[in-house]
Amino acid sequence: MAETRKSRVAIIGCGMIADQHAHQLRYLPGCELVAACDTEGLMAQQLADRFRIPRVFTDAAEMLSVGGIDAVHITTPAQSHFPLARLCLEAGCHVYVEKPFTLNAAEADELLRLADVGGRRITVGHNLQFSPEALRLRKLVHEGFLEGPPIHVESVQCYSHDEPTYGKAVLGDPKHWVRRLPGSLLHNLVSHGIAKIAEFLHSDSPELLSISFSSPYLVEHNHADLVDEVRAVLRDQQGTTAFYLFTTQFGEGSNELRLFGKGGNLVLNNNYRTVIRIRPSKYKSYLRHFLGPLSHAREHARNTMVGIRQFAHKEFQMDFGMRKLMELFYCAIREGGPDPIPLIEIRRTARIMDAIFSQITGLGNHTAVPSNEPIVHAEVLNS
Amino acid sequence: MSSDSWIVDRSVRVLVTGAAGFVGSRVAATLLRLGFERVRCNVRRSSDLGLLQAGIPAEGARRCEIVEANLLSREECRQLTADVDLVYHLVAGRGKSFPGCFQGSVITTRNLLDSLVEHGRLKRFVNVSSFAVYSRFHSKRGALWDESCPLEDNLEERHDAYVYGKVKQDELVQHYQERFAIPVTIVRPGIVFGAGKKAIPGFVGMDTFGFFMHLGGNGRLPLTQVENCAEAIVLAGLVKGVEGEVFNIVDDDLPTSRAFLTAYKKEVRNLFSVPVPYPAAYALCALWEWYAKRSKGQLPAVFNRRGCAFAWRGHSYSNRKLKERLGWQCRVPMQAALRRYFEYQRNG
Repeated sequence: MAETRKSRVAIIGCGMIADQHAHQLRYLPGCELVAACDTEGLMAQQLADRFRIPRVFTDAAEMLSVGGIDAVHITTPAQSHFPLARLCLEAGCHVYVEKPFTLNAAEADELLRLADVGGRRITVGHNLQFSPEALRLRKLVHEGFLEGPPIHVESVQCYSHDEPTYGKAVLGDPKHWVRRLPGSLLHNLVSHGIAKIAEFLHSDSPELLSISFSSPYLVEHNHADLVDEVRAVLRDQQGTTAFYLFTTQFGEGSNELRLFGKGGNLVLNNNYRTVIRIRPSKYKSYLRHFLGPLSHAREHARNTMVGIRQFAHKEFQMDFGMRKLMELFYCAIREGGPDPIPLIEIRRTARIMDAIFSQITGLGNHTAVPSNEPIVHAEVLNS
Repeated sequence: MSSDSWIVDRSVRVLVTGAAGFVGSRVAATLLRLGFERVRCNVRRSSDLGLLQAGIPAEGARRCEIVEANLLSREECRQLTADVDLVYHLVAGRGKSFPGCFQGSVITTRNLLDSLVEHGRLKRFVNVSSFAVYSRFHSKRGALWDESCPLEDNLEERHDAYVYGKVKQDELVQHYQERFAIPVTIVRPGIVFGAGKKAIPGFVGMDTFGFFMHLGGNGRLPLTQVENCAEAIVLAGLVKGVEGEVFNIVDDDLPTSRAFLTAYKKEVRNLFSVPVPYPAAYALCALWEWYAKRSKGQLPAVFNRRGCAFAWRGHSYSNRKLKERLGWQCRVPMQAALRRYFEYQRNG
């Protein structure tokens, strides 16, 4: 049933990412931030002060028992996502969980079940899937540019250890919460890149073969207990294949998604916010080599113009993807539309992550892995 | 530096937080040079100890204890502050994240102060604040910038995470001073420079858009050479009768921004720069700030009128209080300090 009044929203966990949520919620029509909660009272208070949030709590259960909350954004360390999301769902709230959704697929299944049973909405912060370029790519796929679903998908995700607020903090602190996740450093990072693949696969548990190892940088800096390189190959029951690359060796490098279909290819680049359409060349002989690049140049020029137009229309925010995801999430709550991220995709992403991590931990990894002697792990799911 | 007017003798345990940092390492070195017997240097687990170790004299190693501790942990704070009489607190949250800066500046300070209250033996807590906490929005060009100037009162418009963290840290420290009678002295260094600092100070200008915009004009730069600054900080913890006081730290003979840039070009590299007059800079910042609001954050309001007035309006500075109350002297003259700094920039 459609809900018409403003959604009253609370945030649990008032650290770095909570700021981005509060910032976007401030501009989102139909929402009002009514409570901030953090076990560290000063952190809750600073968020409340800066975003004029009327109520502050240090205990999530107490906040929910007071009532007056329709939806909760969970922006805490991943270890607490499951218990907090369950608490919120059981209290009758819709839930937006930051990535990674849960620690494993079993927890994800349970949350999705609870949401279904209680008739509540739940989503995960895979906001890169709602960036302006991701929306353009999706539209092209739906319009049939590929002449059918993608035959092959490639997701490239780069990350730099030099990133001061996260990378250096994790490497510098052996007790950092990220290092206690089942997938350790990878766990908090890979879901964006994997979710992009999960969108275009079909079965719940695709076959998966992966190699994981420590980068030369980690080995040199005495962090060979951490794994920060993944190469994974996937295939679903319909035969769609995918390749996932996570690396820290290119610095920030590029974050790309490539879709290959019968009718052509699409290359999405999150860093440049571009979607390049590549069609089989219609030119013959040498003309293909001379005129083909020109059509590529035209594609890049078109993307530049699209970017300028979006900027002029104030649709080029750094966190546009998060705003769009929230907009769709609250639209689904109010008007009963589809989930912005189909629940099956959330489940699929969790299972793919589980498979990659199990191949690391299953062989007792998290120990020294010299970069020139990669430990190779391979596992096939449901093969 | 006479020890007759000190509140402690050299045998007390002194804690320096942020001791691996640019200033903290020099504070620790100064304490060791003055003969303190037990200097506890707190560093993060990820800290590069190069600067700190370089500043410890060979015979001083036994008097210096390097302790890795995370000040976000109450338990680690408790252990760190056991049997400590004097604290120099230099840890601060940095970066663009507001909660990150708040956590790094305020939560750490709260944990530290709670532990010190619990132990109950503190003689003085020196909070190393920053010039950044001041507001110059309503000041006139050339006006005196001293300890009596107002603090930033519109943190939303200032839109600077570091400033937010430091203002809230100062408020917290003053709250503990009032509530628990913690003996606090606050020091606010200007632009700390010296070997180890690579960037041209933001008060001079910036190269955000691919070329160097000289924004400081003929305004003076509130510079303090790192060893001079460290000595002032150390004195703030030692000299009797300055509890509850605030000290700005700037050196003598401050150069103008133009003179600094000219010398930089001559001594380090011939940088292409475009001078931007203050009224033009202010108008551009006002425009940016207006658009940031209008576009609902498409551009963050990192350039704004308050930040512009703070850095580029041009003021005069005083270190009179520092000299009169702490007996501080500017040991490294500005010309020699700049020569060494440029040499580091050229070769480092």
